[in-house]
Amino acid sequence: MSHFFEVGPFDPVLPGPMKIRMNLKGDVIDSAEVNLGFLFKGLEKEAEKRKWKTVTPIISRLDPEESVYSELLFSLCVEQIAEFNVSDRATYVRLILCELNRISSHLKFLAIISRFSGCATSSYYFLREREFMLDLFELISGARFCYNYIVPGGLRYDVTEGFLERLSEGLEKVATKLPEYHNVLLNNIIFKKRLSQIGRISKEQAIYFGISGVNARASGVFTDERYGFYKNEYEKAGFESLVRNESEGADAYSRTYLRLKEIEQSVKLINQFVKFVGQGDFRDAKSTNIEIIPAGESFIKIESSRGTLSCHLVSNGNKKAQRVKIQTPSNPVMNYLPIYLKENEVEDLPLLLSSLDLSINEVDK
Amino acid sequence: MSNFSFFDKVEESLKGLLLDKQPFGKTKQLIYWIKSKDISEVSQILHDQEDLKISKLEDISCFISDESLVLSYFFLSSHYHKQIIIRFAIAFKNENEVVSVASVTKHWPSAYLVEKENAEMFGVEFTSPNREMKIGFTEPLFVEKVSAYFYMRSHKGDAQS
Repeated sequence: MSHFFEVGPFDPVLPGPMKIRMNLKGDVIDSAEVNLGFLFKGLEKEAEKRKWKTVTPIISRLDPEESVYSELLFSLCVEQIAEFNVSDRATYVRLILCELNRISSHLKFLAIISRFSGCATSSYYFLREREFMLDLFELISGARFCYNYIVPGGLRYDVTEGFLERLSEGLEKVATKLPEYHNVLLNNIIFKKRLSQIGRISKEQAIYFGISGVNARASGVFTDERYGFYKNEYEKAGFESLVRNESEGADAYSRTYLRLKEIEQSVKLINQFVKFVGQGDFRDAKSTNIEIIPAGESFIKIESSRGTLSCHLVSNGNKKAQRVKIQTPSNPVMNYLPIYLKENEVEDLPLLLSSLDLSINEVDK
Repeated sequence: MSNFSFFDKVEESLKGLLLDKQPFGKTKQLIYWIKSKDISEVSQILHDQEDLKISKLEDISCFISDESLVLSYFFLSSHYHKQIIIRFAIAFKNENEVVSVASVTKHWPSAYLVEKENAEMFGVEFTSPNREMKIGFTEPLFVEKVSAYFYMRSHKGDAQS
């Protein structure tokens, strides 16, 4: 017997305001339809209406959880058109913040998925460490979300005194907790049985739908924009992208495993980047009072914690941008969602959705 | 494959469909200009051409320039780490004119949501999309459907202020 079931637009199961309409055959999802648009912010248009130097606070609202990436992306686009010189100091501080944001985002992911899988205690462990990451962001930028710290030409202000010392302390704390995370979550038999064999994404599907980030790398697709714009810096720090090679595609457990491994990797990368932060200007003097950007366009891609984040920026030489077009990593996953949910059991819906680490903030930009 | 031969191969594949090519911003990338009616054919060629190993349509960006709507398609060959930018412009005469462009979701399903965004923001109608895709915007992004002409006028007003 088939029946109709609808979730949303506001439900704790969902990653944000959205609606999923499902036709069920018993407990199995026969077909699904996704509806979006409940959180539309008009962010691109708002960025186009503002003067160049006031765009960063708007852009950082793309996804408040991952403000570093959106700020960096827009700054890189402007820098390419205006030919600003970013010092090594500013570059490495930016990369430290990127990796710090990756740790914070993955910790939040682990907290959510452990709660949905019934391992409520471990979710508090992840949130505890994430708090320390947010404290570090507060120390450097004054805000725990939407930092408004990375600006075209470098950083808004220099690194706060004592930040690098606190950073090392925090990373050590996370590094010592990693074996504990493995024990309480990944080696937990309940968690393993609950997540294995559900939400499988094959390599072919990941490529066909243009999925990026951990969701694609867990399925064996080599896609990592850390080999793109900041290739030299990452290679200098000994970076190697983590790609799982599973013949049958990746399930929810594989994606969780890879995110935990990425936390480990990010800790190592930050420790390397800290060594390269030398003395120097934190911002290009030319960029401090931007009024007009020369006519031109740029397309930049970076690797956010969810995948490839790109921006196409067009300037016609005015005080405002002609076009700011952002493509987020959650968009292609949304296209895939109706197919992904098909033939899964409806009771697994919270785990299926949370294992993809979706952000509706990004999609309804 | 070197940078030179890759783009040679692209030009050979799209022979007869290319109008012009120009550098993209301050990068070494090239923009290939085509006619708007050819986008479906171009997307199919890029999808089927195995030598180029194009894996992804990264983005579709739309903007207004000189009373015409400019659409840019960013394709990625992840094997060669190269990007192919296909671009065309559509001139429109009046505010009631609906600009129609063929959808590329048949070959590149990742374009589905992006096409929908562009449709609602610029009033572009993407014809014959992939019927397997089941995603929609429940609420209209703008209160009323915005034509490209209307958007251009309001946008120009903002730029001058």
